[in-house]
Amino acid sequence: MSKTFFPGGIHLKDNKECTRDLPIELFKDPEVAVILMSQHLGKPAKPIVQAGDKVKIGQLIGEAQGDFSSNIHASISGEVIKVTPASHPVSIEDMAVTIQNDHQSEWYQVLNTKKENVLFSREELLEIIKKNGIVGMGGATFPTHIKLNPKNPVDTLIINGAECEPFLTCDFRLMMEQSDALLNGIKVILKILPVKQVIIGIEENKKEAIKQLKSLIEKTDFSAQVRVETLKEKYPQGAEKNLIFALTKRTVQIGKLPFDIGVVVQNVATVIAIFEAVYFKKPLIDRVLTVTGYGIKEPKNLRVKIGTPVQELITFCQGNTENPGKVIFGGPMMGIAIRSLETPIMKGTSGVLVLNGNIPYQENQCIRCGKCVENCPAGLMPVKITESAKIGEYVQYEKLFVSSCIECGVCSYNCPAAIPLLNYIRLAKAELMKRRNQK
Amino acid sequence: MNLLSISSSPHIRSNITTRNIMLYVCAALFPSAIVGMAYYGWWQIGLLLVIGVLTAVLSEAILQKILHIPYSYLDGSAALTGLLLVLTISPMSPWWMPLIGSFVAILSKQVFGGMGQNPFNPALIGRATLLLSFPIESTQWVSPFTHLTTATPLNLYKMANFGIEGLNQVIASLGGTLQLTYRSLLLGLRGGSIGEICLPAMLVGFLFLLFTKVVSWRITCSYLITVIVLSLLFKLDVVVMLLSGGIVFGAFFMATDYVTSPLLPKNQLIFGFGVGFMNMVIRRFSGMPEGTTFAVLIMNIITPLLDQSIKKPVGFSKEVKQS
Ligand code: SF4
Ligand code: SF4
Repeated sequence: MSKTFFPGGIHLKDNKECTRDLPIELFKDPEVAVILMSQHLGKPAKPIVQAGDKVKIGQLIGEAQGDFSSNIHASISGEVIKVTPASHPVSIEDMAVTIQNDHQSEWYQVLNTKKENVLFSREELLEIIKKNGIVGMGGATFPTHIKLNPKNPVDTLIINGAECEPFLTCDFRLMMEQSDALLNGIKVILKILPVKQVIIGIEENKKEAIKQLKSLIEKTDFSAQVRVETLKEKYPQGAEKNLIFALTKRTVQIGKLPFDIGVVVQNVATVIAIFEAVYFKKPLIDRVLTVTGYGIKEPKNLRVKIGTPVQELITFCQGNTENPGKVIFGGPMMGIAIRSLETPIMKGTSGVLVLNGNIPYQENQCIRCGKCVENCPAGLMPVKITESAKIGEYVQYEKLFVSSCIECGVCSYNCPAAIPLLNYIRLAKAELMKRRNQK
Repeated sequence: MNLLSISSSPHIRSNITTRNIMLYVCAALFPSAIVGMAYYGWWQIGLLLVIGVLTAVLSEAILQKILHIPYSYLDGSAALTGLLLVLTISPMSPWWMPLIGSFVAILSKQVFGGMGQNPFNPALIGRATLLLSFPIESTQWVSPFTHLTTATPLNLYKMANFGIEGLNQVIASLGGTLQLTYRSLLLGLRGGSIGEICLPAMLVGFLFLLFTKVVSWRITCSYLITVIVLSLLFKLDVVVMLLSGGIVFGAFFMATDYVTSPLLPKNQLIFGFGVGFMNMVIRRFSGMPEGTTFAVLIMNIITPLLDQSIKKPVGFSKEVKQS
């Protein structure tokens, strides 16, 4: 029986068929890499190089500012040509280090090639993860060294292989092609967090990955501890709180975090990045992503250097760069539409989606069908929040639990009257934040 | 720099639209409309249907213009209201009845601000108006095919104050034995409104709506169960109660109207119960033989009250509220 969360959620057409069977291709190093200093949750890193400096692959170029931040490394070798603001998907413009490729492909540190020597202590491992700038690669980009060092004792580690966003297939390809790395990464995490059980949650549309991982785990020495669970194909199965509920039947109370109920969740790609950092000393300088969407002729799964301008990927996949319509970082439900084709790939970019033009949001009158209420995975009443937000009745926001919204987009997606409910909810959220801060 | 168009997520949308939903409901009413035409005459009923639907759409267009409400008269909701109205009136209605009924129905919606704002089920407001203004024309019941004037089974049953005598009259009017009565009631071979007589036709439509998730089972089930329980309590013949009059039509297509029924599942159950309860009280104790229309309208008043309640979100606990 496949597991799932409730209440709410919807079935989406997954649109994964065009890339699911394509092996990950290595994308060439870009001529110019634009490496943003803010690729994670928390404070931006501080650039520690200047124009004119020579850098090598893996060299530290942005220093984490405090614990709740992350290091940034050079993804190519060459000369720093400028340290100036560049296109950023969220904050429009943000500080970035631009490196001109010298095609020497020289590494800063000697990479480890032997696999055995991982006799690190817990603290050393956390330090390695921190030093190498590992952050959550599923999109949230939470610094991993903090997440793996929870305040409360935890007993369960969940590996998120749900990949519930339509179109994206990069996590699936990683699970198929780098299952060894994934399992070794889990081993590393087990040293840091000696949990009782590890659950790898995978949606049922990725049967091959489920089968392969199951048989590989059987052969390992931790097969009693680690298991693969099949998840129902339902969006947003991969959202942290929903995933935890589906797999452990534990509910994260409002205002609490997963570790409060003894759970830590890590995304598949992050676990592999941890493995590479610990075993090979490789910082987070590249990632696997899916380039796809109706505006792309040859969709692909690519391993791409951080800092590669998205334009190059679209050109490589035969997409239209003249008039691409809408370009999205991430999936179609929660991804961010970017403003410029010069925007560089970041640590949390799991996909580049090119959609032709805008969807027509011809907002009609609410017919009170209740679909938004029925489908909300956070158990909210989007229609009521929207009604209050339209007239600015902010006293209602708190009563309607606006801050519990996980911004999954289900309500907007499914509203027959095409009301952009989530947009109104975001307005309400922002207003609530503002008023709270004023107090 | 060449800027791209941006918007916030989600970037895709399902193909469910208001119009789709309205058309689905219209489709669900189609079998009942066909049976109505077959039983009472293709031309006669067909004409009423056309007048009802056209009037509804036209009045919506005109009223939207006058009241400065954005045009939406082609979204199917007006057509649906017209269709619903015609299916609830007597098959012998003169042509001007659907004309007036549809107009009043749409008016009752538009004066409150149009789609989604109306507190009362528009089609039922139309029907209630006709019933109160033209009681004679509204209650001319005839048997299918023969078109002989008859009383509805409910009328007969009620006139005899629900005694066994009344039941016998019902049996006699439908042609003999009790067995035959139930069969006739099931197939709708009895006096009644155009669309409310044939259970199989209505059931096909309702199952279609359930299957396509346009409506949920909650209101309908709690409505019908309440009716059954109260019939047993009042010692009435359950089959006659369910299959005569408009209860099934009301439970399938009227009480389930989105706009005038509550949002939350729990409240939908309460709503269904309320309609069933009012319906049976009107039938048993009031001067009127039938009460579906008014039962639904009464509960429509309660809907905004029920909609005040707020659902507890996932992960809610008392502590949170205090903090
Ligand atoms: S889904 Fe849209 S139309 Fe339906 S109740 Fe919610 S806001 Fe209204
Ligand atoms: S975006 Fe927020 S309100 Fe809308 S369905 Fe998702 S969690 Fe619920």
